[in-house]
Amino acid sequence: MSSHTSFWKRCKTWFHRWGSPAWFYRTSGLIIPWLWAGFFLLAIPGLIWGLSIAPPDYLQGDSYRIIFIHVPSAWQSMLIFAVMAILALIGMVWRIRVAETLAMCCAPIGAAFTIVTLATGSLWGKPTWGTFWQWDGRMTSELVLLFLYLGVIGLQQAIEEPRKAARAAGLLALVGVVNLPIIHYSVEWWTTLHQGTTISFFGESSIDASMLWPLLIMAIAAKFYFGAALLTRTRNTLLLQDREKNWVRETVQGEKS
Amino acid sequence: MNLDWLSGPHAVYILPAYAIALAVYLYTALAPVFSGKRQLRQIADIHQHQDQQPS
Amino acid sequence: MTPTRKRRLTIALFILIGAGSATSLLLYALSDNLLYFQSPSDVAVNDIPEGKRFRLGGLVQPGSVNRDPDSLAVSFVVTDGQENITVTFEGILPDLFREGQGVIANGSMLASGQFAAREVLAKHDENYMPPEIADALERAGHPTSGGTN
Repeated sequence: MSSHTSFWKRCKTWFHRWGSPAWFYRTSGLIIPWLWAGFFLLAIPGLIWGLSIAPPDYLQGDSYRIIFIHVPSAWQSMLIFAVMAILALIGMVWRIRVAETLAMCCAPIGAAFTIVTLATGSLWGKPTWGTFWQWDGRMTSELVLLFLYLGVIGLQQAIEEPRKAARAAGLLALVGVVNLPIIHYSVEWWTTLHQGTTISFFGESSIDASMLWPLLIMAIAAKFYFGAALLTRTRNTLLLQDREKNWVRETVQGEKS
Repeated sequence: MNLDWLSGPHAVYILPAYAIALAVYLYTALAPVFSGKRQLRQIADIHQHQDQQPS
Repeated sequence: MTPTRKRRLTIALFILIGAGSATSLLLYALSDNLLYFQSPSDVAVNDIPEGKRFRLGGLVQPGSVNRDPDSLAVSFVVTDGQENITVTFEGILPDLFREGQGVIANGSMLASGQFAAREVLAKHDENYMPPEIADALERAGHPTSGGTN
């Protein structure tokens, strides 16, 4: 029992430590290079595998090779929105500034993943379906995701005071979460041009292993990229917000010398 | 290694798809790195300016 | 958790539940309009008026494709296994258009009961595999093509 309580206490201390901007700045600075290393170690073999070792598809030929960038981007675009909403919720309930800042820095990265999802999907649609764009459930809900990201960014920039801005935009992030199940289930609830779900984590995937592996590697690489990009942006924002504080003074002097 | 698709009919879709992805992800990752460096310099200048003010 | 935090968490959860139920009701009310295409069975049941634009989706019945040798005119039968509708089209078909494959035709019903398509798109399914494996499956008697799910 006593070891149990001490475990929770340690978790709590750890959680609180991340809440300190100075600690966050220092620790994230140490982690970022490792995240980039992980990204390159996965993305380079993943790309080579997907673009030159994986076989062509029996039906689509080579155009399916867009899957290795399209699907990891699509997953990531949805995952980032969920992460943003959870961080916004933590920021809202506990009033932790680091969580609020992290949530706000998710939005531009998530928007980038959504733009790539839409663009690569469009370029894949032309040679397979015969069209760049159709207003079916999957495509429309993914476009709505982009507008939600832009809404979060816009709302945050429209309000002067950064903490009020983060809380207002965080509320939009929380409400916007309802779009995530819509994107996922759009291909099941309605008839769509977009095909159904290929990869299932709880059942058999309908993609050959020679194509599935590079896809999963690219998907994990996207997570490393997101981590590195998010921490970099958050560090910048915290430094700017705290520019009059002592820890920034010490950090700036330390980085100059 | 097999890059036959480069001369196939789908290269005009695959190459732009990866080029757009590369450009967007490169910009998203690098823009904050450069703005962070510039910001660090600006903050250092402000501090220097404040330190020079007689208190 | 302090009472203030508990209150904030409750408010946040209520907002989420509220937004979720509002969206579900909206989607439920609109569900018929959110369908991207209708199957031949839907058409048989719904009695769509002549000339009204909609999308017809199904599989191209094997052996039903008739190409006019002198023009780009083509006709084929779209089936969902129960109902069949003959589609006429003049233009370039997508590369993935083939017999037994999923197809979506955008157009309207004619008085003759045929469907006049202005645009034909191919729909593929969620299966990806190398050609050798598709061949092996075909030989084993498991056809690989399809695509209206």
